[in-house]
Amino acid sequence: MPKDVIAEGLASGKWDVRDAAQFMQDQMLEADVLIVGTGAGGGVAAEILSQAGLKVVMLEEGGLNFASRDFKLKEADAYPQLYQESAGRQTKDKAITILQGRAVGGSTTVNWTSSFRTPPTTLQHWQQHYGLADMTVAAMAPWFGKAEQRLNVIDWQVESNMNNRVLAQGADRIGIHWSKIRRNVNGCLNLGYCGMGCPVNAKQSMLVTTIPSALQQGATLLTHVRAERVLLEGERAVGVAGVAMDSGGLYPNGVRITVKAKTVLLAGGAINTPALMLRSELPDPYARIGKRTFLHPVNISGAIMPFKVEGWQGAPQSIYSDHFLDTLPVDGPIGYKLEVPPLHPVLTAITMSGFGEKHRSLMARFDRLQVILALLRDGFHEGSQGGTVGLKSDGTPQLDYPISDYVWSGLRHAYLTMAELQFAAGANRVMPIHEDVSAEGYASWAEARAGIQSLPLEALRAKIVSAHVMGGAGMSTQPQDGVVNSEGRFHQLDGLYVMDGSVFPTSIGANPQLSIYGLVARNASLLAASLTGKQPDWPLMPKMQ
Amino acid sequence: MLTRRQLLKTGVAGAAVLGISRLLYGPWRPDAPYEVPKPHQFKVLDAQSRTALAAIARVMLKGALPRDEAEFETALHAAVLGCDTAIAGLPGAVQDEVKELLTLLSGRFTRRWVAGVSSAWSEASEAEIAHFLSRWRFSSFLLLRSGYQALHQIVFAAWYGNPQAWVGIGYEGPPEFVKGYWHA
Repeated sequence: MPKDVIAEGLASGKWDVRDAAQFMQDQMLEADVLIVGTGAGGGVAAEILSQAGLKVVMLEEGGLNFASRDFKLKEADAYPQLYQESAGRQTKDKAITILQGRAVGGSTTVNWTSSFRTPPTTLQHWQQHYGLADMTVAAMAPWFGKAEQRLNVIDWQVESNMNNRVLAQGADRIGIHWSKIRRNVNGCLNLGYCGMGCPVNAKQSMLVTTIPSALQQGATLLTHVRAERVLLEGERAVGVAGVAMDSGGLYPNGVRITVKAKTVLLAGGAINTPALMLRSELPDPYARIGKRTFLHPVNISGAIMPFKVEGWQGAPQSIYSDHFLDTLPVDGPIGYKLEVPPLHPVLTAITMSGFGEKHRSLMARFDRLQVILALLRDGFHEGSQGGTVGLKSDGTPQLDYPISDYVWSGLRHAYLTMAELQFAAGANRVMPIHEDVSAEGYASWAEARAGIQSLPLEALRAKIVSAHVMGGAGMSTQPQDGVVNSEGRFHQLDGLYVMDGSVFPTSIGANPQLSIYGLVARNASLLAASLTGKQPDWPLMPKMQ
Repeated sequence: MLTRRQLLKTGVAGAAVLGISRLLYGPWRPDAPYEVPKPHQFKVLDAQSRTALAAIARVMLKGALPRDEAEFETALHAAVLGCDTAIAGLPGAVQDEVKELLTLLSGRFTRRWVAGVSSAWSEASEAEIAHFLSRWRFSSFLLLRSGYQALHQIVFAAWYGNPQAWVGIGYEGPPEFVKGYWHA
């Protein structure tokens, strides 16, 4: 019988995991290091700092959901349970829908396992424009290597599913290059349900790797806690005040949580971290907090193929093309990465435009539907300043991300590429996901080319989504250019660090999980060394596995 | 660009218009609410919102809802209940926006003048509702487009989240063997 690392750990009685939804009275805890958030950044930091012998407390707004008990592969359960705002978080004007995790493990619990090192062009841009001299390809490579080792990032040897194969085939036929995506999996059964929580613990998310390891080392995990404010004493962060949430994670249950800590580390992701900083009214003399938040805005092209695709089956992402990142200068017209998404009924149905019988006729061909995504590399050009995180009247975050003309023009270009590629791969019909494209879509590349050229590019006509939020507390050497230094330390106060995707000064230009793992591994190791005087050795293979 | 504040303003304007309409048309009488077998199952939707959503879902899900009359009613009820669950799962601030939208749709005067549906939802023809949806879908006002998108998202998520809705789309649901994986 397989063993679920979470169920076993909880049963062992050794783990200190507390569900704040069950608390009846206010709580006060103390820690050497308090970590807000348990995603890619918080998870790696928790393991490294716990192994260094520091007392770590983790706060997580979501719940502890795990494979043997909770992951039932149903969208209707998974989205409210595992995602921010039921997988429907939106930008201020509602033009962009954002998939972001909210659970122990954060987005790593629900991501599609695509693992890319930070592209060299991105690191070079940061060196040139943000003075991040210590972030050369050579200096970062060992950290990506360590993260790959810890999280079992491997070449995926299994044959790609049809949805991905169409991308490769079409790319070949239109003469653009493609490659295979590496994945952080161990014993993957190629099911295709990564987005609903891996049901067999094959995905090496924070949920099944670094967090169990940190708990084994004596860390404390509090779930269902929303961090409200960073507590300050003079020029120093000394803890966080939070509120316990109900078990659905929607409403505070009236209990207050205070954690006092010598060091506070923010890792709530690139919308929630800047929002927490804003709520805390931290000193921000250059008004940098929440600015330059990037999304890799994504547009979508559907195709009806003459054969079965069944895009719900198999590793969701195994093929990508960087042709339009590699052949366009990073500060030229906006480049894009081509990938495919997994196709499940709810996400597909809400993504396909139109209603009534036309919508149904598309859904009736769900098994022949092939979908390509273009992820735009935002933040490298003056026409792409990203968005701004602010607060709603109830203190919850709101991202205002206006889509600039520069970005729109990239989106049009991407629609053209995707349609050309899908027709080249044999599509019967291609439908860029846009309200002004008829449900039948286009019947030929010529028709598509003409149609796409004249599509009105406007918010809430073109369907734009995002699964990668980056920036908002960007790294810089100079305080006027960013929020933290390259080690993640807040420019304006002592004892406060940011270790998540918020620190990126631009978007990454690739699925960001490995960029976060590598950078946070480096910065958490530097922090551990400065707090303990000893160099941590990471990764150690945890004893429990 | 229109913002949430303007949605609020529309709401406020709607309320003002509503006040005037009461003076003109006499006491407020709601449209006949959509009859549901077990109204207590609903967490957030009131009878007015259920009526509006049922009418909208009937049109949005045309072709997806079963043809058999008895099955049709059960399925439509499941869809409206699914909308309720979906809305109840949203954070407070977002839920409030959706409720504002539904209040706007179910108010008799705002239904007529903002949505352009002159009949009560329970009596509105399919064509009238489809026309309303298309008008909002392609509106030059971002606000109305976002209203359409919200309805689209809620109704289709509610419908296709239900395994019974997978009949006819070639999808058989998640692999069965996973159910026994941990207890094999």
